[in-house]
Amino acid sequence: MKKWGYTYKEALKRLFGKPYTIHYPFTDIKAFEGYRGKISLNVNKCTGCSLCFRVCPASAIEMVPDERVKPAKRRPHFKLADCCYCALCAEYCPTGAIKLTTDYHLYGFDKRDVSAEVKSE
Amino acid sequence: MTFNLYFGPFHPALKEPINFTFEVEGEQIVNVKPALGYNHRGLEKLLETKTWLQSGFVAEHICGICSGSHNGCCYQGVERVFGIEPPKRGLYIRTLVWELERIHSHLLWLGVMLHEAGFDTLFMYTWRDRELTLDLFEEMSGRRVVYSMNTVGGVRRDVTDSFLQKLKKYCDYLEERTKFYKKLVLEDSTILARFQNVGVLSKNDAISLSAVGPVARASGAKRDVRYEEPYAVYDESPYQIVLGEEGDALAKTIVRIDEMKVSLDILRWIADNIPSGDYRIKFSPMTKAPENEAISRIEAPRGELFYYFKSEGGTTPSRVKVRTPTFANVLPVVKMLEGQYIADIPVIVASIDPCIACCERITIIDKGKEGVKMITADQLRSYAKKWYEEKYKVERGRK
Ligand code: SF4
Ligand code: SF4
Repeated sequence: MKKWGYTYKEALKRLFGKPYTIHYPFTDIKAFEGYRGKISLNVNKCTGCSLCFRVCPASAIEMVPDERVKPAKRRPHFKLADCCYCALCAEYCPTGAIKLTTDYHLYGFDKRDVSAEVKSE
Repeated sequence: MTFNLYFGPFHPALKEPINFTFEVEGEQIVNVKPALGYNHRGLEKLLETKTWLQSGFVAEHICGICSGSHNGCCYQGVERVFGIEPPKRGLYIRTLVWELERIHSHLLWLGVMLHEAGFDTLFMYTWRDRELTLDLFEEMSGRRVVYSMNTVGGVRRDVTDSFLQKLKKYCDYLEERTKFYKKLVLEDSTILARFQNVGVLSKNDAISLSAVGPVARASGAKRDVRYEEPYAVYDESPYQIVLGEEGDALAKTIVRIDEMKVSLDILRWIADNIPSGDYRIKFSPMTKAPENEAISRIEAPRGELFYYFKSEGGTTPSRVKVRTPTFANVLPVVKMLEGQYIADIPVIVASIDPCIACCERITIIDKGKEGVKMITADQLRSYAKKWYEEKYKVERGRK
């Protein structure tokens, strides 16, 4: 009998209480510090050495022309749909131009929509 | 009179692409023919085009559940090719990843197994607990499923003291939960009715059919790489082999639950005894390997994982061979299925913790052309050679 009472009490409580699950995407969930999410590139720091292009295991990097990059005048372009977020590019970049942010909202209707942010500070 | 019952490669009770042809007599299975080969992905070949540093990142995509085991086992092999030894702290962190992964994998499996038996409430419970493990992984490595923690000569990220404290709290919580699960599995009449004396594998069969991992241990066979050939820091850790007796689905469940407890003990020991110092050695991405060959074996959550590397002195391996535990467990599952009833098929197949997608690695998908083409081994070889040459010239800029 005791068990049944408990069951009814729980059922009523859950019927009127808030759901246990998180109301995503209306409530945001923060990723932990150090999460390997969307890539961002600081063009002012990049020297165009293409080391990132060489280490990338997923061949997700293309070197494209960019006037802002000195001296090589080309910068990496990240095809995020191919990327496996291993962060090898960020690890081996000699100038620290590549950062992996905590943004994990990587969706788009087209492969071309998902590409990395390119900032110039 | 017997007739054939086809099961898979697409079947609601079997989430992975394997096909079984059962010869049944009434409700009883007389003979089983397994057929693999629906999901080859060409990963061994792909590994040969990647540098030594990149190889682990391809390897970890072989399996989504034991990605840490593949990654670690692959780099352990690469280190043996180069003859380098990672620092002690690196090995401790590596072991931490492996054991945490074993817990996450066993919790996942327990949920799936109970779901196959129709016990969905407990499935939700185990997967909720698994979520905590994934959170720990996210905090430690930066990703939840594909951790990329290892590298040639150590690990890529250090663990902080606050993380280790959190890990200990998690161990205490999960210890209570494993006790609860064990009690439930041993007492609940539904679970006992579905698991007891179902899919029995005798000790002799386990040994003669080369079963690996918890499947072999549930039958009482001492098959565990951590026991036979301790790697990383297992020889110092409080590891104990867990053995079952009956070899049925219930024994496999209990062995896995007990193994989680052993893993928790190892994790606690790591949190208390991890030495300070370096956790990796420097490794340049384009390093050439000496001419050498090496094998690497570790105990993945599902059993023995095996990597073979051959180097001819280049920046990439010249041959890689991977054998995953599920591949070794296909023959034992055939033995287990013989003489059983049709209704028990999902439970028996799930009891080996199948990961079919990770035991197959070669496929050619030709989108443009329709129809199936037979090619000889020589044609395939020359195709591979041409593919290589083009790829190397165009994409990597190497001549
Ligand atoms: S490695 Fe760094 S500096 Fe070199 S091209 Fe890539 S982003 Fe630029
Ligand atoms: S994170 Fe890894 S896969 Fe993605 S671009 Fe960088 S190196 Fe390539």
